[in-house]
Amino acid sequence: MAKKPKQIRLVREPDGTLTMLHPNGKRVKDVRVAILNPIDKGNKWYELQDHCGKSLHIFPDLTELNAASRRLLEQDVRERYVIPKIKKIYSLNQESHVSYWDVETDRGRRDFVMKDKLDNILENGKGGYTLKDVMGNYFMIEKVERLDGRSKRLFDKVI
Amino acid sequence: MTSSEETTLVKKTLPRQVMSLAKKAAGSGDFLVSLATDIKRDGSFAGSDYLLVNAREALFIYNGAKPRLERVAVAKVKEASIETGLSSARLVLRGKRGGFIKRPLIFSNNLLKQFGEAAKVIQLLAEKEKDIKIGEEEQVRCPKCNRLLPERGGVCAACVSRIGVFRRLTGYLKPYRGSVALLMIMFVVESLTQSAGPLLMKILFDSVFVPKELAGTMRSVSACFERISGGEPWPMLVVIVLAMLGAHLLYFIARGAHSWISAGMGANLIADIRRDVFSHVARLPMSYFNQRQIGSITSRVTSDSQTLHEFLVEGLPYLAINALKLTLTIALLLYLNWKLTLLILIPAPILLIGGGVFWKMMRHLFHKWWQKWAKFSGDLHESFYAVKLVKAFNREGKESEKLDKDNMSLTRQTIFTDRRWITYALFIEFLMTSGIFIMLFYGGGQILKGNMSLGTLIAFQGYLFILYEPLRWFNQINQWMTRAFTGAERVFEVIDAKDEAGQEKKTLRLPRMKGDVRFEKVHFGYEAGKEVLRNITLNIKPGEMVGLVGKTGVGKSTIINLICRFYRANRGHIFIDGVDINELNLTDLRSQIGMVLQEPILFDGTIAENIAYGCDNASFEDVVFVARKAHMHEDIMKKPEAYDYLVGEHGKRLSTGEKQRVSIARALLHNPRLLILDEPTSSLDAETELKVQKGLRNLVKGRTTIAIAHRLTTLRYANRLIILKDGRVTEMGTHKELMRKHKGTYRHLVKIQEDMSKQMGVAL
Ligand SMILES: Nc1ncnc2c1ncn2[C@@H]1O[C@H](COP(=O)(O)OP(=O)(O)OP(=O)(O)O)[C@@H](O)[C@H]1O
Ligand SMILES: [Mg+2]
Repeated sequence: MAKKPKQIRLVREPDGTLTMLHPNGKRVKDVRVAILNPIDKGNKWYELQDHCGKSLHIFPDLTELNAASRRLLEQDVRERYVIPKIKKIYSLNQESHVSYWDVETDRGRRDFVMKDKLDNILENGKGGYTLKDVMGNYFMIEKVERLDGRSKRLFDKVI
Repeated sequence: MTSSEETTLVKKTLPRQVMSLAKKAAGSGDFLVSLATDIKRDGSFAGSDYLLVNAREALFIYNGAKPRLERVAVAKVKEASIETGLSSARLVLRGKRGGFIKRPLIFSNNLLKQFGEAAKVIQLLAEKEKDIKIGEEEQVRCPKCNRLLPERGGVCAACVSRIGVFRRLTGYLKPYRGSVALLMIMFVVESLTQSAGPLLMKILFDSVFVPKELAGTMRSVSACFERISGGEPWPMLVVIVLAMLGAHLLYFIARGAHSWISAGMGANLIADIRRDVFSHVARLPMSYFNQRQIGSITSRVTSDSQTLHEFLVEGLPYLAINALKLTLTIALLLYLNWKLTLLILIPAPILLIGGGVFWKMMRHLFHKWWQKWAKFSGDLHESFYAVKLVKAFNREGKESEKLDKDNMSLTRQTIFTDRRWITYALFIEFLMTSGIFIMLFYGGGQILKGNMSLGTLIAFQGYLFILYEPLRWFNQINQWMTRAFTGAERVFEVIDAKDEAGQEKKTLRLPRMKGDVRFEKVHFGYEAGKEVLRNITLNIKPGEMVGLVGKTGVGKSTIINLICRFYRANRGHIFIDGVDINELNLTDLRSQIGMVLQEPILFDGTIAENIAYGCDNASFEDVVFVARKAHMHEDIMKKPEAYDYLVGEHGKRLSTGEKQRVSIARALLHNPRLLILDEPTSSLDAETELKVQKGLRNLVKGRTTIAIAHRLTTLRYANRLIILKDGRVTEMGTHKELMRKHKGTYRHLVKIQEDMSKQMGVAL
């Protein structure tokens, strides 16, 4: 384990901000995390930025971080990248060109509205979909196949 | 806070428990802001955290088994801002030393506007500002059914107020009162004459073909015909057939008249609606366009008004005429034989319910089909539109593969939909015709028993079709009305949106502008929570030429947008000749500003027309004069059509540099008091640029000019330069003054550009 001193580390300051500790001894305060490909289903690329948005470090894999840093980073990602996964569809109604959704997600229940479906539904090829509602919030269905029967029927009716 | 209405945006009713906790901590219930988040701090949707702000402090209440309150004195806040993530954002309070004062609150995009305003309030309080104004509320949820709205401040598709909309819709019919009355008469004639057919048929049978003693009801009508024809069968046959012919003829005349009238009325009506929409749209503020897709606005002028037209000209008459027919027919049938009537109505409910169910299914199928079709045509459009790119990257094969996939998917959907549709149509047809068997069986029995005449049975058969025809389509009416009403609401929403000039009560005239421009602590962002300009203070004197310099995306064009009042500042004031820009007459303001926009915008038309745009009284001589000043004349003369050369849509048949010079010429022709040049010569070669600048130099004299350029040499004639960084003005002064600043941004930029040209020199 001692062979991995080159890692970048993150620590949370008492004031709540994150500080990046570079293996070369550099400290950058108030950093934040960004994802380069947040919607894409493939492997995520992460970037650490300073508080002005300047890129500090880009890395394709969280294993570059130690467990503690990774937890901190994941916490930030969870706050700033909200793409709930839809687990169940309670109701889904189409009224003229607008569809009303009421769903259970991995983060809890939500309702949202979609319009202009063509532009706002992204098929990811493996039976999954990414949806964007009228306010610009994203939702995801990992695999339609894995939804329960009723949800699947509702989904098929509209999409 | 100026009015109670304005504060609703950041003041939401919070749970009692939270309020009492906050009141206890604050010592009073006077809060400027009270908001609940829709994402908890742990990132889940189960519950909310809360933010309350009064004049002294901000209270954070974190939800949990037991709500926990934390307080922040606003005086300790250095910066309150919104940091946006993906479908979420957070409210961040930073202290003097930069770190967070409290863990940020997280919320979804739905609350972006509200928390953006809340951040503004905190920031203003921290800056000890007294005059706090809060933006207007925009509904996110329908106030009636609490569903989310498809557009901020838009119309709920699920519950449009039908009566109100209907009234307003029928208001469009007012100018055509005469036509409407005539139309109504035609409907009545149509229904009556159509219903007369089977009745006459009955009489024909009962009074002419079969012995009289068997004749049933309607003796009096038959008696009437007997009297006319003297009771003999032959003359009676002639009279009755003539009467039928007459009714038939009248029916077609009424139908013809009906179509004739409604065609004329319909065309005028849709023109009225469209005119209302587009004349209003052009007056809407830029922020309206920024928030919406152009397609969605265009569709209100085109497809939505088409929907309204269909409803008014086809839907309403259809409803009226069929309602009339149905009532008339059922009444007649009941009179003829009520038992048989009830019997043949048996399939009716099945028709209605089954039709409703099936129709819903078909709707989805049609919708799906339509989506596939739209995808196909969208991809098709794109691959043709980007044809140059496709060819350049040898993607022809891949593109047709993609299109073929769309095409096959569309084909499969078409087959499926069509087959379903045919099945449905046959099913309905079968149900309808099966009423005949009930009629034949029961009615035939009655005839055999001598309780009913043959004529009555014949009449029944005739009426059966008049009856079922409208029933078949009645289940669609609801859907149809919904569509029409949503369309109507969408149209009315545009018509009702506040236009630019209507946003203020009084406007000050400014017939001759001196060109004094002043910014005072101006803040601006296109979207809630994202400030582009921060605390801009500037003073541009009449006749001065000022250059705006800064990195791409820093907000240079945004400053221009504010001066032209395409957008309004969120905070602070802009004065032109000492008058607040918001109080100025918009026509006066814009007519005296000449603009060369960063992306030259050209209309499909000739070069001359494009130069003269917005200047109706310009002579051809003027056009040529400004074209020469813009150094465009020679290039124009290279085209055989010269000034009559058609530039194509968006000016695609001109080069970018040519387009720029056309827009320079256009701005010059305006003879403006304030000239705005946003990267006017960025696509020109150095030599042409120099020439254009020389031409401009004479013209710039005496008028205030604001020029933006990345190439600093472009600004060599500027009296003063304003350097922007991170949305703020960081340096201001003449070229010389700025060069003297050792660590100045400007000096740095000049150095880089000089080095670059030196390197180029070496390389060449
Ligand atoms: N209509 C808009 N809606 C939302 N954001 C916008 C809009 N126009 C510009 N912005 C954003 O505002 C910021 C400033 O844009 P602006 O056009 O003023 O930059 P600029 O200084 O003119 O840059 P450039 O030199 O590239 O022209 C940018 O971050 C841009 O993304
Ligand atoms: Mg610009």
